[in-house]
Amino acid sequence: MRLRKKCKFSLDNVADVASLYDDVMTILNESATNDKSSDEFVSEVTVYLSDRPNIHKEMQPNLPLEEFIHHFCAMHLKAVTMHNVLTGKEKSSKVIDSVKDELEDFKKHISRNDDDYERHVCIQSKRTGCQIYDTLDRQKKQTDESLSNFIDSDTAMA
Amino acid sequence: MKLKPFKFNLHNKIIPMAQSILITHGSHVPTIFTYDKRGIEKISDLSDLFSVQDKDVVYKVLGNFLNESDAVAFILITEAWMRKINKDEYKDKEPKELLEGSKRVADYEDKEECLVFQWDFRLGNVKRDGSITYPFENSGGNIYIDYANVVEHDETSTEKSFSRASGLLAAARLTEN
Repeated sequence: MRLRKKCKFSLDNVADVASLYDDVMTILNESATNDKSSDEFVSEVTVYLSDRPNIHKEMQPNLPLEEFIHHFCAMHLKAVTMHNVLTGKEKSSKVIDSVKDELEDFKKHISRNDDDYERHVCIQSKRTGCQIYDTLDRQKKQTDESLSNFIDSDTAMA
Repeated sequence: MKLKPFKFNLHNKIIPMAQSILITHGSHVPTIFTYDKRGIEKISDLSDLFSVQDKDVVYKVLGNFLNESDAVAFILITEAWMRKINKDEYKDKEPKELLEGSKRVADYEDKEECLVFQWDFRLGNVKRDGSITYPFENSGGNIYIDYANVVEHDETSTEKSFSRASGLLAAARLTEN
């Protein structure tokens, strides 16, 4: 396991969060490989989280440990399912539809001004330096310039 | 920003540049050009988004992006598969109904690879959209664009057309209101 026992854990530390995800994925993969039941998976996560109490303290200290563990397992399995659907690994139409419903529900709970919403969309765009004008003459002039710049850069690359 | 200069830019700059990129590199990454009310052009690489296989999710995210970026027009460039069918075959049928079972267009032997330009312009009372499709053949890395068989759809077309992107700006406006 990447996270050592009783180590410090912070949600602000990307390495800590990545290690936690890796560790739980390792437990989940081992469970799947050895055909273990979901109860056995929860039990192994319980041992893991009990050995690392700082994770509970940092994430949901107000929740009793047992409740936190169930919530944590459910969230992890949901995240894995969603990842499998979005990357096309999941083929079951029932599972795909349920993830779509959850994404719709998720959107309802995020306001447009929320930072999380911006991260959810996350497509970067940058100005090309070109513009669409009101007159065709001006547009033609700009198009000529853009094309000659494009040809020049292509020639330079060649 | 007016429609005529927008279409001039599409036909005389965006399309020739994209064709040149396709011929030079053998492929064209999914790309979108967006335009705000002033006509300022922005470009976004959509490779990551289009790596998601469920295209319903892809176009939903794209609609959100257009909504957030206050775009009034866009040109979406994607590579796709197309298949020519008899007119009588698709009479009174939805596009998805033309596929057998869970088959995709890419699964058919008579498929053709193509470069597609989907565009939408909604500013004031002017609401136009359309698509231009250039079939091409990739033969051992050499690209041959079939300029003689371009398929173009816009408001003047009489043939039925279906484009996932054509409703995106309209949907974005509805969400806003």
